[in-house]
Amino acid sequence: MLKYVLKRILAVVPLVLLVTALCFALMHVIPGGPEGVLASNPKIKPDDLARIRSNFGLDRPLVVQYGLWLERVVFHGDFGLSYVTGEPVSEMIGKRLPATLELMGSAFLLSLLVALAVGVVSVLKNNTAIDSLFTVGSLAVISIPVFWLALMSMMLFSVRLGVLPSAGMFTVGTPFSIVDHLRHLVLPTLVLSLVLVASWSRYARETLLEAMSADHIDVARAKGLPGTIVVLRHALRNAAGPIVTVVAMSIPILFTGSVVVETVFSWPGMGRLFYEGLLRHDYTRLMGIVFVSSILVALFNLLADCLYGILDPRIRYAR
Amino acid sequence: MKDPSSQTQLLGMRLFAMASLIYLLGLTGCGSEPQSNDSAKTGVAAAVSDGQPRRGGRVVIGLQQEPERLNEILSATATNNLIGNLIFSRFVKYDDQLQLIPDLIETIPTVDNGGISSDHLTYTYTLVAGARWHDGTPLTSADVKFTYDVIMHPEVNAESREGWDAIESVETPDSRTVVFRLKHTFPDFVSETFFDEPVLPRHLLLAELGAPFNISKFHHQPVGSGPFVLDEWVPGSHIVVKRNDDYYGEGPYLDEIVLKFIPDENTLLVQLKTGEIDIYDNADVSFLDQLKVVPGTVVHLTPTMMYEHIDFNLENEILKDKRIRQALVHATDKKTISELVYGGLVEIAHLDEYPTSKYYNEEAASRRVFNPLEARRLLRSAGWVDEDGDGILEKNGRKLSLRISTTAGRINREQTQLVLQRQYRDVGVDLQIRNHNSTVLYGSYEENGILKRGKFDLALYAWLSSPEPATKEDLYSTNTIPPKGQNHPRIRHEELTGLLAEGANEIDDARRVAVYHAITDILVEEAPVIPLFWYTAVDVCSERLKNYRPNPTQSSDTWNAHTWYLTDQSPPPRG
Repeated sequence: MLKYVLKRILAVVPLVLLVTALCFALMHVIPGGPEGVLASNPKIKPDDLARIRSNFGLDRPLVVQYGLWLERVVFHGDFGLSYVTGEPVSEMIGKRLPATLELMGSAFLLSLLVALAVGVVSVLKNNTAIDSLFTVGSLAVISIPVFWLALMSMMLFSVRLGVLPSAGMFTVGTPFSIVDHLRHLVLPTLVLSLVLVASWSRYARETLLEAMSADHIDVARAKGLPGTIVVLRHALRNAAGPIVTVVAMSIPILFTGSVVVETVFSWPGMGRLFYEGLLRHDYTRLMGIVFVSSILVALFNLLADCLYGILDPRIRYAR
Repeated sequence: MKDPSSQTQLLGMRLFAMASLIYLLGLTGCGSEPQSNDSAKTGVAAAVSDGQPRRGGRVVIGLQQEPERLNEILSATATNNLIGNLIFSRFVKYDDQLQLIPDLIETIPTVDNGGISSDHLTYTYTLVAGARWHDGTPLTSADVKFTYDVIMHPEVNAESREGWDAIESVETPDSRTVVFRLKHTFPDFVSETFFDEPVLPRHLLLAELGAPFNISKFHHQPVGSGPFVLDEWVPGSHIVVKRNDDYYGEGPYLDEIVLKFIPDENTLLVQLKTGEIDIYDNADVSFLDQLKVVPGTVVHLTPTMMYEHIDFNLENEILKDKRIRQALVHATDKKTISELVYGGLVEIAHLDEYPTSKYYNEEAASRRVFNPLEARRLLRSAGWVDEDGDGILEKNGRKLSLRISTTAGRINREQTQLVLQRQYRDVGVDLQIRNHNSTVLYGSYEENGILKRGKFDLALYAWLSSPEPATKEDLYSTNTIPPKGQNHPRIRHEELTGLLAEGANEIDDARRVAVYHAITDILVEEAPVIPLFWYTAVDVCSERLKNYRPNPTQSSDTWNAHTWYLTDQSPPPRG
C-alpha cells in the first residue's frame, strides 16, 4: 500500500509539469498580456510599454520565461510576484485558499450527506412517486445554470424574505462572530452543493440498485431484516467504492464551480482570484493557482483510490 | 457563470484602462440630473447639501473592481482614482461642473497670479498650510520633489510620464513652495501635474526608490494625507477607511467609508435592494428601470466623456477610397442605434470633441448627417454598382463586403452591429461580423492585438475624449501608426500630422482653437472614424447621503467625499 502511494505521488510530478507547461503555453498564445490593459490608453506611449515589458522580463523567449518560473518554484518554492499587484503570489494564494477550502469543504460534506440520503430513499421507495420526484428534481437542477440558481436564492432569501445576507463572508464593520460568518456561508454552500447532490444522488441510486440485486442481499432479506437495514448495512458497503470514485472525480467540478459561486456571492476565495487574474493576464498568479489546484486535485484522487481499497477488500494494490 | 468576456466586466476594464485619458478643462453644463425614487417626495431630490452637515455614520460603496494596489502612479484605474481620492492628496481636481479646483495647493497657478511665468516654462506652486501625513509627519515640498523622482525613475513601472517628461528641474526653495522648470512648453501642465498622481511620503518610501517601489508593501497599506485613513484591506472582500481628524480641508464628516468589492453586477443590484450597500457606483445601464424603483435611493445620470465609435482601416483595399468611408458615415443612422440599443440614454456624437467644448467645430459637425441617398451617390461615383441584382454592390466582379469587429460578449455592441448590418445593406454594403475577446482586440502590438496589427476592416469600440485635445496627435498622426502610437485607422495625412503637432504645443488659446477646428475639418473630410455617441454613467446612492455629486472626469465620484454627510445615521431597514 505504502509503495503504491509513493508511486502515485511520484506520478503527480510529470502530471503537474505537463499541466503547467500547457497552461503557460496557452496563456501566451492568447494575444494581450499583463501590460495589455495599459496599451489601450492613448496617454501611454509605446516607450512606456516597452520599459514596463522589459522590467517584467516579458521580452524574453517563452521557453526561458517558463524555465525561470519552474526553477523558482522547484528550487525556491517561490511562485514569483504578481505582475498586477506586485505581491508575492504565494502570499496572495495563502490569503485566499482558506476561504475556498472552507466553502468547498462545507459544500462537499453537505452534498455527500444529502446525496447519500436521497440515493437511499430512492432505493427504498424505488419506482414510487418520491423516487420519480427525486429523478425529475435532479434533472432540473443539473439543467439550471449555477449563476441563475445563485441569483434566485439571493432574491428569495435576501431580498424577499430578508433572512440571509446576500454576499460576502461576514458583515463588514462589525466584530467577527461565528454566527454571522455561518449565515454568510449558507447560500453559497447551498448553491454549490445543489448541483453535486443532483448528480451524486443519481449515481448513488444506480449503484445501490445494482448492489441490491446481489445474492447476499437476498440472504439478508430472507433473514427478515428490515429494508432500511439491508440498504444501509449491506448494499451501501458494496456501492461505496464506485460512489467514492465518482465523488473524487468531481473535485475539479468543485474547483470550477467555486469560481462561479465565489464571483456571484463575492466570496473572497481562490476562484475569484483566478477569475480576476484571467481578466488581467496576470501570468504569475494564474500559474501559481493552476499549480496549487492541480496538486490538490491529484491528491484528492489519490485519497479516493486509497479509500476505495479500504472500503472494498476485494481490491488489492499491485506490488 | 458570466463568461470572462461578458459585457460589464469588460466595460469596467475598458473604463479603467481608458479613464487615465480624461482630463477635462473648460467644459460646463454637464452636471448630473438626480432622480429621486421616493414617491412621497415631489420634484427632484437635492443634489447639493441642504442644512448643516452632521458628523458621524458609515457609508458602504459597492464596487465591481478591486484595486490591484493603491497607487495611481503604477496603475491609474478608475477604482484607484476613486479610492485614491479618499486616502491621498493631489494638486488639482475637477469638480462636478468640470472646473479645475485646488486640493493640496493654495491656488491654481496662472500667468495673471504669477504662478506661471510669461514664457510658460516656470510653474510655481504653494502648498496649503497644515497638511500632514496620516502618521503625523508634516507634508512638505520635499515630498513633492520625491514623487517626481519616483515617476521619472527608469526602474519604476510608472504607467505614464505624460507632462512629467517635460520637466527639466524641480526646486524647493522652502517647505511649502515647489518650482517646476520645463524643457519646452506643455500647455496642459497645470491640469496634468498631480491630477491623477498622489503626492507620496518621502520619509516612508525613500529607501524603496527604484525597482523595489514596484513591489512595495506601501501600495497595500498606504499612508496618505487625504480626508480618510486606511484602516483595513481584506483582499477580495473590502477596504475600510476612517475619518482623518487632522485633515487640512473641510470635513470630513463621515466616521468611515467601506468599499465592498462585488464582481457580479446582479449581486450589486441585490445588495442595493437589501440596503447592504448605500452607493452602487457605475451601475449597468440595462438595470436602469429596476434601479429607479429601489426605495430610499436616488439615481444620478451623468454624461461621460467616453464615446463609442467605428474605426475604418485605411489600409483596406476598399476602404482606402475616402468616398466609401464618407458613404458609410452617411449610411449610419445613429438615432436609431441610440433608441434601439440604448433606449435613448446616450447622446449622439458627430465629432470626437464634446459638444460644449470650445474646440467643437459646429460647421463640420453639421456635414455629418444621416443621408442614405448621398451614401448611394458616393458609392456609385466610386464605381460600385449592383451588377447581379442581389442588393449588394460590385466592382470588377468583387462584392462590397466588409468585416466589422468589436469586443465579443458585449451585448450592446453586438446589437449595434446588427443594426449597422441592416443600415449598410440598405445602401448596398454587406457587413460581416467578426468579433474578438477584448484582450485580443485591444492587445498590444507585441501580443498581436487586432487593432494594433490592423487586422480589421471596421472596428467598434470606445475612447475617452479629453477637453484639452493634445492626445489626438496619438490617434491620427502619421507618426503614431502602431506600434508607435494608437493611430488604429492608419490615416497618413501630411497636413493633419503637421496641425496635430502644432496644436499640441500651442499656448495661445485662440490660435489653438483655430488649429483644432482645422483638424476637425480634415477629420470630417477624410472620415477615418465615425463617432457614434457619448455614454451616460448611472450611479445610485441612498437618499440619506448628502453632497454625493458624481463626477464625469477622472477626479471620479469621490472627489468631494470629505463633504459627504448622512441625514439619518441609523442603517436603513432591509428588504
